[in-house]
Amino acid sequence: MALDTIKISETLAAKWGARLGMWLEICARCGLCAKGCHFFQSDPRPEHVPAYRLKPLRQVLAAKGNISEADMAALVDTVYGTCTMCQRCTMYCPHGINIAFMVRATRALAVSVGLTPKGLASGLANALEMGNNLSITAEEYQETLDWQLEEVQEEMPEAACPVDQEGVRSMVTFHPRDIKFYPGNLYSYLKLYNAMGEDFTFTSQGWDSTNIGLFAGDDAAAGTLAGRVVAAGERLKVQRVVTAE
Amino acid sequence: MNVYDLATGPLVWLAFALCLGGLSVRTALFLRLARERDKPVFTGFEPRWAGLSILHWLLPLNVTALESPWVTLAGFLFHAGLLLVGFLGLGHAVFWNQAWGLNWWSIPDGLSDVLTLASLAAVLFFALRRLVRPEVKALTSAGDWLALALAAAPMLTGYLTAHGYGDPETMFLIHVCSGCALIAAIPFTRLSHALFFFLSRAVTGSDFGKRQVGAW
Ligand code: SF4
Ligand code: SF4
Repeated sequence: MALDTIKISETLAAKWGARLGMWLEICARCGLCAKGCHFFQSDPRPEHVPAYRLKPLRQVLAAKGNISEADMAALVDTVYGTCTMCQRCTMYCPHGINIAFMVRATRALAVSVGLTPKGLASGLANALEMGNNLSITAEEYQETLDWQLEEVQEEMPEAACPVDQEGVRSMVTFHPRDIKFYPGNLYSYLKLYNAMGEDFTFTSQGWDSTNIGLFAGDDAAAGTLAGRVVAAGERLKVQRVVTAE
Repeated sequence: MNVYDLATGPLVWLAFALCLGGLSVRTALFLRLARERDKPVFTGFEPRWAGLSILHWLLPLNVTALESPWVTLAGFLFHAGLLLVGFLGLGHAVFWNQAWGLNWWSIPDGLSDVLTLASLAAVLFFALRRLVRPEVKALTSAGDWLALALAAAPMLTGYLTAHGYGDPETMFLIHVCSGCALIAAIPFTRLSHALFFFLSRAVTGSDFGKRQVGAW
């Protein structure tokens, strides 16, 4: 299938902004950001210098979106395969250039033509369809919370695990892997919030604190996922949302 | 009007007009673009964190100063030589005074010499770094050499003029022309970081600061 370069140029135009232009222009190619990047620190290849992640974006801009499939494959490799968007490099950059911001903009180009890497795409599909990126069911969610509450209650008989309680101070969201792989984390949250006497609740909707849409560079999906957390918080009339990661 | 008058009169005017006019236009365009399609530049702005971030990098109070001390030192020497001698060097101060009636501080010639040589040494260091360090080499393109040459030319020719190397008039003429080129190029090349350094640090400082992870 041929690459939809029109789509790429449209996305490019939509992503263009004051920060993007400024940062592309003033990068001094000094390489000081390399000290901050865990990719470069563990494997000091030139391609692992943070500023190198801007190359594909420059290339697409120079070609006004009209790039070859091979170049697009290289772009996907660079911006998904060699950057976790952790922003550490920004702390080392004299100009304060936000590489992650531009990597995300570049990822949007891949998203626009359906080239989100498979693993990420399936996690995102899960999140959109099931409300969390690991396809955890409502039963599994509640059972795991109940189970961990029982564990906590062995030490703290008074401990409670409110779900969907309205009007409390904090609505707690977390990573779905806490249900699937690390239920001990839920134990810790429960113990902590109960010991603190925090006025909190879990929520049956919008409880996945990860935003795979944001990470994938898919703005529409990112908006949907963030919107669910906001909607849950508004429905429960809480004062704040706590995100555990 | 001879070449000498042309270079020290209208050419200098033109260079400064391009520089200041260009920087004003670029600031206005940046703010307009930000207002139209990059709202977080404004909505996320935190004056305190922006200010601290700028300060931490105008002074060597940052993680890179610790982790890359030599590049940091070279960076400071380079900019100090360029700016101090550029604005306050005795020859320049006299020129500002005669041409535009401006009257400000000047630094003695001996100090200008030291600053200029240190600055040129920093240029050499940056050039070698670009050739030798693989990660910097991979990033380097023609524009980087151009920027380095633009900055080095007036300093080198200024030093040579002051110490009577070469034909005095030709050397001086090259000095003035390369200086004007440098000044005029600021808004239109990546030398625009003279302006965008502050805007970028304000944006990023605010961004990190509002998450309460310090003013980076
Ligand atoms: S440290 Fe900043 S200016 Fe230097 S190469 Fe990296 S991103 Fe560019
Ligand atoms: S944001 Fe990307 S390039 Fe920067 S330090 Fe993290 S992984 Fe490296």
